[in-house]
Amino acid sequence: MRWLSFFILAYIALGLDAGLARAIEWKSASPDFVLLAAVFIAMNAPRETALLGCFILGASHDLTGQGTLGLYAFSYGIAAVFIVSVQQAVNRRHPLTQFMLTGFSGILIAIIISLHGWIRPPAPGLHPPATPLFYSAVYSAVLAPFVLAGLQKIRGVFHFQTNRGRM
Amino acid sequence: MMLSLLSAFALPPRVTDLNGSSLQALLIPISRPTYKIANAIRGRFETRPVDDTRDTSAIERENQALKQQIQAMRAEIDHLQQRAGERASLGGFEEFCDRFEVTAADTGVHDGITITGSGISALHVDEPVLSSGSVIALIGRISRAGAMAAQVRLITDPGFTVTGHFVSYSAASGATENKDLTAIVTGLGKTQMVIDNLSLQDVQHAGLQPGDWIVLNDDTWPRDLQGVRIGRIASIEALSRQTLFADIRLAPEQNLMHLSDVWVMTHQR
Repeated sequence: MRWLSFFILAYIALGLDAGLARAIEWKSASPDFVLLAAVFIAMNAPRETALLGCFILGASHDLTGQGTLGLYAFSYGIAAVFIVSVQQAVNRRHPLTQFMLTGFSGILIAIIISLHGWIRPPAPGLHPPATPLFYSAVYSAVLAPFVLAGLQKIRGVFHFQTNRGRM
Repeated sequence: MMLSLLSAFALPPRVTDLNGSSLQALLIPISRPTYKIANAIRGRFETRPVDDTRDTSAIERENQALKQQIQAMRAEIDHLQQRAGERASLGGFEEFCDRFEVTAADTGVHDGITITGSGISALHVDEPVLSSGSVIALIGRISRAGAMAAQVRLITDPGFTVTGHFVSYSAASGATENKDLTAIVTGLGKTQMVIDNLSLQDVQHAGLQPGDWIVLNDDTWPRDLQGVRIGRIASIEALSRQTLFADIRLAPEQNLMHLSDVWVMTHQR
């Protein structure tokens, strides 16, 4: 994978997440642009590269937000493990595939973040509501076919190598 | 992966809680224009967080009564200030605050915004942040100050705690401060706050109802800010886990994640 293209994608995704996501939220649910970038990388890149790319995206998300270091890095890493495991068995250009993969990944991330909120509440006895996280997963999944279709059109810029191609 | 798992779930929060980092400033070229454009479009369609269901005549009566009350209070303040010879020191919040532009909003589980502008490098952690516009309200504290941008932890962020008291309005007596009930306001995330330290009986006895304000009454904040609005009561119900206590949900005067600019209280009287 061409890492310069990856970092430009990461930069744009993080910027959109910081500037646009909350402005287009619906019922406290905002789309996760970084997740969409992570799904795109995990669907197309070879296994190790995809895992590393998603981990970097998650770590960047952690570093630019106000949360706990490692939480998104771990969550996106787990999501990448899931997507990479089904990568060869799906039609990555199909909108339904993009919707399902983003939805499942979003739900995985929502479960991990909710668990973190329950295990380590921000204040004693206070558990942040988890439902907006699940709505966000659905919102991101709805946007996925549109965003990922655009990204698939420029996937040549990333110079992805398949596992078979590398061998 | 293992390191991130340890960092998120095993290491103590004081080590891993970032409270924002200066890396957010690097995103300003993308986040600033998108935030401005999207919020400008959203502002045209957005409704108020707390809908006032009273009829127009009741609101007009309240406005008239408040105007009269403000006139009377202003005259009283003028009189007191003149008498003490301190008129020069009297002013609005603007005298103690600097204005900054909001360039991004946090999208994780935390409620926070990123601000920037000239003089940003002079900001310090824990300085109070107020909303701008017709209604000045307390919205949070600086959680991290950098050379290019600063991060604000909003009062609606989960775990953010502040104390206050209620201000009720009635046509007969106008706006009345109720200092008997000290409420602990806790952020719930997703632009919500809750008060759950008051008994339902006390709340009913005080006659609190949706639409009443909660204002700051907290010694840990600057003296000039005491009495500044925090939000309005959105709903009052019995607390599900302790039915003798009230579950009072609050909403800020405006959606704090869509602000265009804010005041930061950089110096005090």
